[in-house]
Amino acid sequence: MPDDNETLLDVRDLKTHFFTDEGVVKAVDGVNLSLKRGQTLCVVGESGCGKSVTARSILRIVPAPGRIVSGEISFRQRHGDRIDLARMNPRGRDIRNIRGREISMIFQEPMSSLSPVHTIGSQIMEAILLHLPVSKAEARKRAVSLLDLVAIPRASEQLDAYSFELSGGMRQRAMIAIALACEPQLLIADEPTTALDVTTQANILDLIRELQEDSGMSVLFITHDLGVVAEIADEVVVMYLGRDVESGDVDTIFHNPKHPYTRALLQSIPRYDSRAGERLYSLKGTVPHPFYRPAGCPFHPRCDDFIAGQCNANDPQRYNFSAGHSVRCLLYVADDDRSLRDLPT
Amino acid sequence: MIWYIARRIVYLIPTLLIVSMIAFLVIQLPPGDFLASLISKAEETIDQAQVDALRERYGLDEPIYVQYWKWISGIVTRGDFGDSFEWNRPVSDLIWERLGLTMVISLFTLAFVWIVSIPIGIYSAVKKYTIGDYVVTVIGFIGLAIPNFLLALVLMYIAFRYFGQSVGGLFSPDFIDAPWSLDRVLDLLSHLWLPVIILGTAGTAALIRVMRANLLDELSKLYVDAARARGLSELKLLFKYPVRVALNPLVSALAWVFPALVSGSAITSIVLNLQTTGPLLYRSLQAQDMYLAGSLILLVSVLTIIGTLVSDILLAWLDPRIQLQ
Ligand SMILES: Nc1ncnc2c1ncn2[C@@H]1O[C@H](COP(=O)(O)OP(=O)(O)OP(=O)(O)O)[C@@H](O)[C@H]1O
Ligand code: SF4
Ligand SMILES: [Mg+2]
Repeated sequence: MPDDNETLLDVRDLKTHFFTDEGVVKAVDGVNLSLKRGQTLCVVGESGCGKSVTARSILRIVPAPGRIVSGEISFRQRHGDRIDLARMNPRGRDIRNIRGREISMIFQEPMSSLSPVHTIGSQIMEAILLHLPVSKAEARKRAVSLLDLVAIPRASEQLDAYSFELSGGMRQRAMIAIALACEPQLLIADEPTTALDVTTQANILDLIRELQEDSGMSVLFITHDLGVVAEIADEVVVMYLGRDVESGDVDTIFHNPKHPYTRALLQSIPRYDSRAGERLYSLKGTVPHPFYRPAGCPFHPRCDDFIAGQCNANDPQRYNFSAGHSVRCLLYVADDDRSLRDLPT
Repeated sequence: MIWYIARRIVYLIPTLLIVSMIAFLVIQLPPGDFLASLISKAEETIDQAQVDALRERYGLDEPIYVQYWKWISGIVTRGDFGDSFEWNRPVSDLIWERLGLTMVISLFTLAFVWIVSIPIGIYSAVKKYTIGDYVVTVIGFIGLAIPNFLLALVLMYIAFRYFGQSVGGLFSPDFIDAPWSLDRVLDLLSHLWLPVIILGTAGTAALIRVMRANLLDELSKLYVDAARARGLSELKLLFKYPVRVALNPLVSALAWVFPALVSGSAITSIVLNLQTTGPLLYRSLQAQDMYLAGSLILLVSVLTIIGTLVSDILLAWLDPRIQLQ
């Protein structure tokens, strides 16, 4: 466990598998990430690489038949003690005191993450009353000020609105209000803007950033949009097939990426200065089905730098370039003469 | 909400009108007018003056809409449903107690069905694919497959053989024709369990499946995860969110469960010798006792329509999404 005071969340070698009738889906298979107080960590990767399962593992809300099989999720509580969330009983009181109080989560679909038959207000007040020693009237007042905080107009009226009476953007604001109800230390945002139109996306991102600046909470932000990453991240973890393949601060990832997958992802974003007709680089192939996890480096069937006999046989270990910049790729192995070979660009 | 209810009640009027016309058509359906069949069946010749009086009363020589008007206005203004020729008594003497008993049985059956199937359905969904779930599923299918009359015979045998209860009917022999009293009510209640179980078994089995499927749908919804992520305990979570939403379709099913109970109970009622409307309707149709048959059809339809209205209002009250649609 890390012993510095600044690290709020430290996930080590987390494995979360789904034991389905057809076989074991290794949705998360050795993820590492670390998040400092007040910072924003972005987790990026293609669809299906295990971002959501990682997020749910932290809150211990992985749906059956999924289960954490190994690893450590070290979290520093408000009063200073470190606990390992991975060892908690997912139905127990201890984890419930963390949920909504120390760690909150907002989801990809604001349409369906609010109850269709309860008012917005009742759901915010529920979060408040669960964790704070306040009366119903005080909780209601707090709920109004939360709706104000997330810039929902006519807050005291909207408290009695149902989710179907709000637009997508307003629902996501309401979800953020619920998440912030007890001033958590960590906000997990699982693609909170993916289902929204571009303007609303920008507004929600601004809102999250402002709230973070005011409250000093940390944000674990999941996205597959590198544009969003460039805008809000302090640190970045790139995931592929349930693993972190590269992590580092945002400048390093954008300007000095080392992993072939990170490079391919970066080359596949459209740039404002790309000329018309210029072909956009795109990742070849698709993410394999999790049942058919390639041996060796899981990225090897799609990798341009594939080393035959190595990449399909050996599992790459993490290699630290510098403090805070690590890569999992056989191109970089410390005791190998091919190490630190500069990649062709 | 008030406007919603008011609107629904206004819509009720044309529906009731159409239903009453259909019921009247049933009365008119047999060839010839019923007086002819009455006369042909009568053992002694009927006095011509009497026949003329009946002709006059029901307006048989007048156009059909006049006949309809006489019939319906008699019902609405005087509660006069005409006479039953088979029983030689006013229809209204015959039906009210039976209608009341039918209502009592149906309501008790409905309550039984809900009280048994909802908790089992919830259990079965939450414990999906466990032994308990499989046991419930198997028993449920058996319950669906057994015909009611067979169940009736088996339970009657058990009740008679092992509990020494007078089986069949809704009352002990002493109380059949007794006036209403507390003892008679208690006697009724002690006989009620048998028809309620028999009539309710198939519905219970079906409703367990519906509840299980509804709840499974809701359990995987994101708002459940979101509530869990707020720190709500599993039990509170279950009842506050997914169960609450999963119950809505059951409330709307009230609209068809009720008429199914009323009409589906005919055969069981005959087997059990129950004083309900089912056997009476059956017999009146056989005997071409058309005013009795038409009145029963009318009343059961009206009850159904009212049941639909009640279930719609309940649903609108439970589910805020309804009124805006
Ligand atoms: N309930 C489940 N049962 C079985 N497999 C599951 C379940 N939930 C997720 N998985 C598997 O876990 C893997 C990772 O899924 P996850 O939802 O974490 O992806 P993601 O990175 O969040 O993708 P997206 O960008 O599409 O949200 C997928 O291959 C998926 O099939
Ligand atoms: S280990 Fe080999 S296959 Fe995997 S990313 Fe590195 S070079 Fe490509
Ligand atoms: Mg996801």
